[in-house]
Amino acid sequence: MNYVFYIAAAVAVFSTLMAITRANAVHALLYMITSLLSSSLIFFVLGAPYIAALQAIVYAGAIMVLFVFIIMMLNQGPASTEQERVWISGKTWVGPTMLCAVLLAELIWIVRGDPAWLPGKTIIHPKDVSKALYGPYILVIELASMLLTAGLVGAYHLGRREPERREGES
Amino acid sequence: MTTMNIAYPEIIVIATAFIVLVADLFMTERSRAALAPIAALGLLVGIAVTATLTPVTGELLGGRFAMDPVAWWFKIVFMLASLVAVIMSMDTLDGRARVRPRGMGFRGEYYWIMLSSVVGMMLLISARDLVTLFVSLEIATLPLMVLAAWRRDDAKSGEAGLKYVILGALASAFIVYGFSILYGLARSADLNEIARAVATEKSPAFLLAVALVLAGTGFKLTMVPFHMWAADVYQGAPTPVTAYLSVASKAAGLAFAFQILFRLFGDMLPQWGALIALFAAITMTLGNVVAIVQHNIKRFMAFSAISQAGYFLLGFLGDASEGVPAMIFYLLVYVVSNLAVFACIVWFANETGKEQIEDYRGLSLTNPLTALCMMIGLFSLAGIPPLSGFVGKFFLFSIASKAGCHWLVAVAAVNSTISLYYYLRVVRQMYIEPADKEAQPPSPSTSISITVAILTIVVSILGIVPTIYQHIHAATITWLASLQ
Repeated sequence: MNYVFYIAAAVAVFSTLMAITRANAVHALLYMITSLLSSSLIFFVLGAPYIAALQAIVYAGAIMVLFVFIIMMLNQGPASTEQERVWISGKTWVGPTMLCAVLLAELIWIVRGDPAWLPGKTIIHPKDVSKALYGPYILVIELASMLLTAGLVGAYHLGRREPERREGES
Repeated sequence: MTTMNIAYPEIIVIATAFIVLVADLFMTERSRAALAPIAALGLLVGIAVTATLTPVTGELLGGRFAMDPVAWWFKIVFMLASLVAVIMSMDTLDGRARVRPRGMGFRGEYYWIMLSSVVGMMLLISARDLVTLFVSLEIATLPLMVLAAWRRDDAKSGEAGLKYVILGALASAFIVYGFSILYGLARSADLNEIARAVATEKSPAFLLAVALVLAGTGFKLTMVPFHMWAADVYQGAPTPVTAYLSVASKAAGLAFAFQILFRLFGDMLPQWGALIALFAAITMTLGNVVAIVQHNIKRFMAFSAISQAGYFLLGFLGDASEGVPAMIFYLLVYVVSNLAVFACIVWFANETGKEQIEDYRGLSLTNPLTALCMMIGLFSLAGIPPLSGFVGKFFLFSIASKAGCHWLVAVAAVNSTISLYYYLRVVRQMYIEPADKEAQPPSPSTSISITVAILTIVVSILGIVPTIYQHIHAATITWLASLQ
């Protein structure tokens, strides 16, 4: 049953390669979403359905949609609307759609079958994840929040619009 | 001992960082000048509390955070380096500099970012599992990337930030990929358990993991051939940030190398002598040879820092009971000497806005004391007796010699001579070339003058007073015993 893993891994490697070689940002993003979905499937195969769901929701869902929005908002105006129509033409969807279809087929095949074959043997439930995060790894949770705050303040500084606050202004 | 007090240094620095960030919101632009003293005071309290931490061994959170005598020394060095960096940044950020670079404001965020990077470094040396180690490494480096790009209007600063982000992300990817393979092989994230599990490991996957992790470590330490980022980042970053980068990122790199080479791969380290010797030789040679032709003083100091990384590597050869104290001592010496030189560079850039080596001509006539301090700092970096740099280098060279790498000692000695030549280039400009008659002589700044004076005194006596080295040596013996 390792075939499921290998096929998903091959899809991940291939779509990542495609993502980094596309000249067009939107096309690259479509492949990147595929890549993230295939790693989600890999988590599922390894017996971590909760992490797989998080991977699909957070990465393939929220973060990538954010990326797509930002890239599309960067080019505004009628000319870019026309360009967007060209970008999201049917042809660009073919590759990612086919890869996603492979993943979907795998998923259906797994779900229909007997879950006892899973290589991970034990299934990691949400409760196990939470117990690990807020038990032994509590320090890492706090550190991650520290890292995110530092990153947030840094991004805010680098992204602010006005060149410099004037003296005497609070 | 499992009491909370071993985490006090980190807690104090984190608290200071948040105080600075929140206080900034309620302050007027004028009263924001108080932020730097708050940050400096927090760091001073942190140093004082760390100094009183005895006994210094203990662990928290099921052994995922540990304090030991070597970590104690690293934490002191990190906090000292950032304390000096905060004091150096004051003139530029508070607008006391004669030439104020554009976009150097935003003090609350600046000190917050700097303090959060210190927290990352302090946790880095205390981490005992792969996840904590990696996350704290990121907390230490991500703020440095933001600081390098702090002047958003400046193309050079932006370039520095971008290069640091891309190459730093690449190095982090190497490290995390290597970590994931190690986790797979050892089935544990605990550093000591991994060390036991992989002690006899010879599989290709393990070698791949080692190569990836060592490449990432080399990047943080600016080891050739992973040094490419250093020169551009150092040159482009704002000068106080360059000063901080040159000491703090080097110290953090060494702390990370300690975690990797002693804790994780301690059993294999003796077999890697030839490889480390080779890296040391090419690192110091390339850094030195390229430094000769530099004209920008920050770029020049970047290559000087690369060649110093080569000297550090000598300490990984041979017996750890001598190598570790020698490296920690040299780290202390390097940090103090480099900060003394950089304090002068920051002050000069504040007063004149210039950063070419040729601009320093005649400094001994206009500001004799500053020129003297800068010369002492440079001579300590070059390793001239009786300054502390000489003593530090002597320990490191004697370790390489005892390990049987006589050719490496010869290479290191030749490199020291080359480095003396290029450090003297700066001294020649200051002492022999005549001063520019038209230019207004730079006026001294109180905060930087005091810093430079203290640092210079420390540089001069660190090598003569044996107490510090004795303390480091005693600390190392305890630490090595705990590693077994």
